[in-house]
Amino acid sequence: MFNILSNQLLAMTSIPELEINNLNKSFPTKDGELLVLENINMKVYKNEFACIVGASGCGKSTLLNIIAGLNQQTSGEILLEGRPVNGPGADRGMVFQNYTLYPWLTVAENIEFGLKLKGISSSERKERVDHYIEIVGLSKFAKSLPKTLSGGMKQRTAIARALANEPDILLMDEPFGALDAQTKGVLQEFMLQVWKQTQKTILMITHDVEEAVFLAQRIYVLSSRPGRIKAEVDIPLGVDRDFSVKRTELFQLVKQEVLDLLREETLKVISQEIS
Amino acid sequence: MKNQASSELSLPSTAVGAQTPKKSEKRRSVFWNIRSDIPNSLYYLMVSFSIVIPLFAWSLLTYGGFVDRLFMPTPGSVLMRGFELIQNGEIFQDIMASLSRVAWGFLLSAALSIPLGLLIGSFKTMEGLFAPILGLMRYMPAAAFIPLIILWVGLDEPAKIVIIFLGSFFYNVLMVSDAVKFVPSDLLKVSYTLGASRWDVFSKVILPATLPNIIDTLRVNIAGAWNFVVVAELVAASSGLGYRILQAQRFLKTDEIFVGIIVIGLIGLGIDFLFKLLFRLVVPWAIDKA
Repeated sequence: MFNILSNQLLAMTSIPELEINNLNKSFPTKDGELLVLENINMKVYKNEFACIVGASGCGKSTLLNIIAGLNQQTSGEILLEGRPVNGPGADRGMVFQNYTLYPWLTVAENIEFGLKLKGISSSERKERVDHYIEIVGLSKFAKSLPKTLSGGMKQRTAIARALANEPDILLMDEPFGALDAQTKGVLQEFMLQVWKQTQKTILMITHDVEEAVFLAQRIYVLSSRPGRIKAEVDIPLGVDRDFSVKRTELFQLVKQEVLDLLREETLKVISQEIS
Repeated sequence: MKNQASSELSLPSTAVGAQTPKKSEKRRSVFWNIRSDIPNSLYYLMVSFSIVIPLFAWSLLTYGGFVDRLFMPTPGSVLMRGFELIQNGEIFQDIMASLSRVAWGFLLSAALSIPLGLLIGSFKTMEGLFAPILGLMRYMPAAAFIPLIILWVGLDEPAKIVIIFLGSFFYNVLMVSDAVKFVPSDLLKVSYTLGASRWDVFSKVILPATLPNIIDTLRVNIAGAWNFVVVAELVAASSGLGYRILQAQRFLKTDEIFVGIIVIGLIGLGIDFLFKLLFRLVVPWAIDKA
């Protein structure tokens, strides 16, 4: 265990899994170009859990969509393991806020979907599905249809489906945003365990600061309209965390720091809206 | 005659009067509950009313002698005529003739409209190419094409199949293309991130996701096709339920017209039931849990 962790820390300081350089994004509107993302520079290191926090409408979802290749940047580059990203691909898995399971497929078939597309043999598919369904604790529900699952179970299936593809990086767009507070808390802890167990590189978007501080090794705070990287905050809480860390003074301090940064942005947006 | 009517009509009115004091209790009645369940017994009571009241009114009008039986036959005589037609087997020939026309016309319509609808719903380019012209043609009534169809195709079976085709094709295309738009865009996006190509997204996501709506579309539109078979047979035919009705009218056999219309309605109901069954068998995942 200790070896894994020290390897992880070593890796963090060296290879950036994802690198974004001078990225801009603007949309054409009837009043001219609207700049939504301005000069974004950021890195996510191998095996790191990074979060982007920002007020609503700051362009954080657009940024994640661009990284996933679902949206095109206006300028700048995105490098995944040094290769430029061009269009969507199975090397970047994604989990959305809304439930995106295929309702006609069972839990196991949903997880298998990407593996079939890749043309993986049926014996290996079964092995991988069994493995990841175990990780998300849904083995008993392998043959259930999504309509019979709770919201939390749906998201766990979606996470397993993205992980089963074994992407280089897992992108998550407010994955727990639609869940009730209790389920959300449990899933956050679950997400930490999954991260430690699979050693995935994860980039997650959220507007929930507590969630970001609890999960992330590093937080990027995005400013509003246009979205810029306002601050990069290292979270000094170590790799081994559980729910009790939320009660520590350090946690509260870091959380307050990020909240203050975000509050400025929110006030700015509101004053813009009023004027 | 008038006396007889008033004595018969006064009966239900007193029955209603006797019930009203019971209903005016403190508790709010369930009768006008908005979008919520009512006791099963009350529900089936209303169902039985929906059958009994029209039947009662019909019986009253005919047996009571308020209308000439030449224009409106009694339920009994319609039933008798129905049995006769079943016994001599004539009605089955007509049913088969009408059903096969609908089957051919509608199958052809579905086979072309489903792919076209999926294309229009999925690709903006295809929407631009087809939607305007199809939108215009939808507003041209299929019945208005009958003279042209007779000129071009003639009076035989193909003409009837073309009429049924025209009567359902445009609505099928429109509703199938709409069904594609109901597929959540996140479902398509997540498929790309799982490594799906555009063709994968079309064939493995859009197609299965729209299947419940496609089956429902066919169920709704086959009702229209079933109506058009009668129109087609009224124009020119020597068999079929529409033809049977027209012949009956010529010989003033009103009871036979009634039999024809009722059979058409019952078969329509049967087709509807079959499509609902198909839905349950093919896309059980889309059945609401509630």
